[in-house]
Amino acid sequence: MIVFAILVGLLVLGLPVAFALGLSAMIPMLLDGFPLSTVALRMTDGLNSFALVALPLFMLSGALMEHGCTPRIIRFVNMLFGRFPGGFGSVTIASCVFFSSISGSGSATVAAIGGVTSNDLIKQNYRRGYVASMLAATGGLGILIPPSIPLVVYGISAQVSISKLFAAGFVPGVLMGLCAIVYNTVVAKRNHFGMVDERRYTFRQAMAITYDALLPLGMPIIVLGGVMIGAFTPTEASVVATVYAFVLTAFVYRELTLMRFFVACRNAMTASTMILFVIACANAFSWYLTIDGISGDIAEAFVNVSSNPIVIMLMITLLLLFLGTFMETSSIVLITTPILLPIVVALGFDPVHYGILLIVNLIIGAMTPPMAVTLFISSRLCGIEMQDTFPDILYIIALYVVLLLLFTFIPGITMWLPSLM
Amino acid sequence: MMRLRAGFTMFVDVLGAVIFSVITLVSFAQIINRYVFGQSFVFAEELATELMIWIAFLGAAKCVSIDAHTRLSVVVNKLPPRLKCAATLLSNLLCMIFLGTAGWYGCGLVKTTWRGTTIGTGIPEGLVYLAMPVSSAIMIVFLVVNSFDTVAKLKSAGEDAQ
Repeated sequence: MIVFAILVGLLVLGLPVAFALGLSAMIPMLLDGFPLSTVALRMTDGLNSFALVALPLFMLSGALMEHGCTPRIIRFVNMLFGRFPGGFGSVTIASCVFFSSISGSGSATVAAIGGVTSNDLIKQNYRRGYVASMLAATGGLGILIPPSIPLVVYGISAQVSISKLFAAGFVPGVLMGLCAIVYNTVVAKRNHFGMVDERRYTFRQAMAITYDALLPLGMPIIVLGGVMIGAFTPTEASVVATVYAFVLTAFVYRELTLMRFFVACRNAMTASTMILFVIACANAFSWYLTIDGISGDIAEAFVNVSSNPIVIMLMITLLLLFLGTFMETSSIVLITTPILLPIVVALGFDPVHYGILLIVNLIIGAMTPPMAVTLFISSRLCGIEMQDTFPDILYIIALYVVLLLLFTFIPGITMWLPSLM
Repeated sequence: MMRLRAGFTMFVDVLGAVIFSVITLVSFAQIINRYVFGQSFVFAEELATELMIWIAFLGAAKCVSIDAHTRLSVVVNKLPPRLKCAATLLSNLLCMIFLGTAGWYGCGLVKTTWRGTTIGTGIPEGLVYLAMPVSSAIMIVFLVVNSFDTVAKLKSAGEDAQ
């Protein structure tokens, strides 16, 4: 257990997660007499996988798609949902769901959609705290609806088919988005938020708006469709998605300048290399856990508390929710997977099902202070402090927790789509 | 020091854009080749992975230079300035020890694997393992620079208070 004591100590001291993982593997290895060259070997070998190439490329395709696609998606969704009570709120949520199928990152989705809609929502009398909470909750779906960066990281860490994980994330993601729309409709009606879009579209206008949105919406068809029918591997899907995003934004919309391309590459590179370096160090860490048999000890400790699978699963959920409140998503995936996956599998859960539960937990964690990445971005967009989102954020967290429990104990919701593959 | 940081950051950013473009083009050509001509380039997947390994480690060094690595700062941020400075210096020192050790053994790995060649690209295997020690050395340089910056900031904050 010394490895965990060291890890916690180093994290509390403020060491970057990657270095803390590497050192907490290196110190016990030194004490146990393992050759330290293993650390060097594991770090590079941890990245030596073509599947991992999907990670930077999905980030790049998402960054490229921000140019010109966001307003087209919002216009299309406004045509569909604008006339219902709480119309523009629902438009924002649905836009987040659509954008999630283009981007693999929650914070990118919040920034892309929130940057365009938050001011209009506030002008339409929506409470700022409510807008920030709703954006954080639905933008966070970016990591559940495929493509998803944390799902790629989990797939590699757990050695589970990324294609199946992508298929499994789709239904829960859309369901969470739909529940958020229903919730928004009720809240908006009760609090007199927003106004109904009375515009009536002629057939020609409707067709023009749909045609305009078809190209950005082609992305999820390529990614999920291509992967599900077996035309591409997830890495190949990320390559095609990047080429598609480049052609669309550079040649069709003509909004991608050389400078914007460079900035998109720079942002994708910085964000992805940060995660890749954590993966490299986590590979040394998980190797030590496996060799030392610590995962088995932890599994035994969980079973000693209770032999009831429901109780153990609830304990794991609580642990993940707790970790999610102060740690970054991919780091949690990399630290907890080698420890918790054997327990979950022993309880009879499918690793694909658990992967989706893990991600839903992390979405909730990412919108719960103190370290609430998506809530932090949405609060900044709405010009408020994170504490101003209370109590609105709590209601949405409660809604998501109920959905999480449904996904946990009704595996069919998650496993139906991958079972068709 | 500012020039060193800015120069290295720009170098990695440009290299990142080039590498991302090459990875995309090569992998896309591979998909086209497979679907249209029913063949595949033996080097494509390996080249993409090897380039990604290099940019991952160099990008990690860039993240050290701009202090962007993800960390848990809730506790350290609550400390008084002097203690916070001490914690940052200790954290940098521990990172340097880790990188120094991993980099040192990484060099050994480069030596032992240099004679072997990779199957697809035919480059020395050691060239792939070289990315880690090279970036470790760069990260150590920037950790030293960051430590000096931390002390300088504490000093100037103390002078402002006086």
